Amino acid sequence: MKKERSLKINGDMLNKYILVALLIIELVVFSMLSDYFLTMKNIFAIGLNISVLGIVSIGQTLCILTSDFDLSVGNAAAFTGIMLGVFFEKMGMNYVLAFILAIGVAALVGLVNGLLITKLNINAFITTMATNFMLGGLVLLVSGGQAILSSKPAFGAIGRTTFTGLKIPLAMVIFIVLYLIFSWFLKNTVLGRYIYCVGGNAESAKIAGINIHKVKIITYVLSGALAGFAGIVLASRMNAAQISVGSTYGMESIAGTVLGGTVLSGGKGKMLGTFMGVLVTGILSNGLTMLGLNQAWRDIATGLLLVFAIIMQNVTGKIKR
Amino acid sequence: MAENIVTCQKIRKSFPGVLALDDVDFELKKGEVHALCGENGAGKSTLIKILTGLYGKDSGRIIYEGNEINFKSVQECRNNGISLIPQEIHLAQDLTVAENVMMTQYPVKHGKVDWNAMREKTLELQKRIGCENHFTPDTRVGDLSMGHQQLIEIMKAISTELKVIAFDEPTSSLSDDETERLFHLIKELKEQGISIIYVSHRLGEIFKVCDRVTVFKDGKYVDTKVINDVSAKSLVALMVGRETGGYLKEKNYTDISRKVLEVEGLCWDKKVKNVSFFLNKGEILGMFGIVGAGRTETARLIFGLEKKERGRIKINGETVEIRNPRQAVKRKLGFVTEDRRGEGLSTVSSVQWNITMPYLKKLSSSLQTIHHKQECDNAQKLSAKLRIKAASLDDSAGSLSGGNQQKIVIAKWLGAESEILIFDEPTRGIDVGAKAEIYRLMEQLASEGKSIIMISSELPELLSLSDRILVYRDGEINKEFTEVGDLTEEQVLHYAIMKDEGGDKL
Repeated sequence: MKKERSLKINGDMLNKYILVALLIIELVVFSMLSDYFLTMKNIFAIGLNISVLGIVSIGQTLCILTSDFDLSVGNAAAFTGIMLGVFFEKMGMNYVLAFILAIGVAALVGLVNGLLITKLNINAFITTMATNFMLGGLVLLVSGGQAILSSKPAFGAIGRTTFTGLKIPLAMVIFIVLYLIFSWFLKNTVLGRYIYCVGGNAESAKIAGINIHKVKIITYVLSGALAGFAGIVLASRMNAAQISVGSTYGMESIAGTVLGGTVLSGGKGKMLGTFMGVLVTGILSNGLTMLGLNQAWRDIATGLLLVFAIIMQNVTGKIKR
Repeated sequence: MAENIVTCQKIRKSFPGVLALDDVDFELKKGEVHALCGENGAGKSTLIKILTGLYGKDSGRIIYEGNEINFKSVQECRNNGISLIPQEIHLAQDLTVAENVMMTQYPVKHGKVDWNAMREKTLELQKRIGCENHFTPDTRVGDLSMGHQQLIEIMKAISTELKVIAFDEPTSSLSDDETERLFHLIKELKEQGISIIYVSHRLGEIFKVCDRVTVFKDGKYVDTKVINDVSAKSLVALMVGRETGGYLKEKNYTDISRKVLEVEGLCWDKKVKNVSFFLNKGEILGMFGIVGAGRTETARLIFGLEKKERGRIKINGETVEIRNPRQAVKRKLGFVTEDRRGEGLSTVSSVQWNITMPYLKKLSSSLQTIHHKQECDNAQKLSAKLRIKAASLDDSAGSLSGGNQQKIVIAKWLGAESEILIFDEPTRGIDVGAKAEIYRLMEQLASEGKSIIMISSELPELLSLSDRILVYRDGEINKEFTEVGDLTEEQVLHYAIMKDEGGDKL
């Protein structure tokens, strides 16, 4: 028994350290190759860059913890950005109201996902893939196929504000604060625990009296709202609600979550892991860009990183057993 | 009598963290049925998996028909006449019987699969084991019962020249009929000169079908005996290294003045037909019947896991509508399900999380934030009370033994302060030592005024623990025994199989 325990700790630690080690390797290698890499300016650029995907990945992590997916996050983000543009720019609403309505639309998307998955018992993969298609169509329909530009200061506030002096981007701060909030949420609230329980074994959660439908629906609503918020951050950064952004967020957020150690079968994982996962991929992408490598190479590198990390997780998983 | 067909010498096998087999010896004679028994983790399954090529051994020698062998794969073993019938059958559910049986040896003619030859060969094998009337070579495997699927595994084994066959807990998912048929088949295989290794927890079966028995304990060889020379009691003693004896409940704690649960005219989908019964406070009510007779279904209906068609349920005299498990938990019902891994536990979650799952809200603030200290103390207290053996409450539930997993499931209902507990096959897959602990725990709960429904297929435990026994047959309660003291297993079994015509005696 004693022996088993020590092995288990090793497995878990190894898992965590793989990400930390990857991060350190990246930092060392890139800072050696480029003087610019470790400047404040670049660090904040990285922070700003990963904040959008990072926020999407929070919701994705919640879904994966319940042993499901949310593939609709990409177009949910794009659609929310467009809706904000419509409410604020085209309909001339007050920003706060437009913002709340847009997030409401995103939450509604999550609600629809959750209801289809639980009440009609449709597979989550299919459901969210379908809503992703529909949202993609709605984006084109509502926007008329064109980005909605806005030069009003309110629109760009979230994405473009920096705090004076060090020029800390607001979006990065929000992104970090959201991680802290959801990390706390998972650890300390009943609902957070129920998310783990439902993912660990839905049947045993049900028998323990947990309303598993409610838990899943709330998870999807949160995922939708977070994706929507990420979409707003992105639109704000660009001063325009784009129509073709976010198509890759679904897969990228799953990648970040899995890289962070959350298991696809659910019930096991941490928000901090996802944070690290997103950070490691974000830094890799930034570093390679600085070295003059294009998107093609960045994608290949991300893929390799993912495969490597999963192999390592399997190895540590075996040690645990 | 006959010479050895297999001799294992000093077989050693370790898995990360555990030594599964510690230099064990084992001998199998030609044409015998040899039982291999021991508690969970004794190493019996590991040995047959090494012998049949599923695992490699770390050291030791296997002598087969006079030569030392070192087969590297299941296929190689099978080609040389050694096959395993695993505990859990994994066949291709969407393929036909013939396709599964001939899986690795499709007959080929002109570069194409010769379907006719395949069917013929399969039918021939079916005739050899006498199941040609139950299904055809073209039946889809997914449509067959577990018992029939097991027959297909056996057909696969005998499709090549079979000399040694190992069964790993073959009856664990079989009905009584299927079990009988299997025993018959084992006898036939034996008559054909095939040597059989039979791994089982169930001592009754071992005495029924085996010639000799070898006992392992904690990965070590203990003893080999001719079956006629040992009693069940001494065999158990060899397995656990101590006499456990038959557990006997000390007292009847029933308070007949208080009916905590009354069920009237419960009906559901032909599986439960007009079932009525009551449960007294402090009582252990046994439910017996063959698998599928409606006991588990009754429990699921009471617990709100299935929707009843008709019938009324009263708790403490008050009619209640329980539409889902949430309402059942609120009414202080607890359900220790039959399938621990499938329904009872989240194996990836920690021991503590599993225990507090049904009543986490009670350990939380009004804002639904968990009081971690309170949760930890609570789980610790329950785990100490039930003597759950885990290095830490943070260990995943899946890493514990079956007995300890069952204790976690029980702990969660104690924590939820359940007053009515339904135990469905509470000792299935649990080793002998842990069984006695579960029995003691159940008696203790009854003494504390909890009321218990105990569904079990093991008559000895049912007879020793129950205050009353209901016997199910074909969805109905066929017989109620209000006095259990002098009942024999045969009497109870009789009513599970035969319709109660009233008056007829055994």
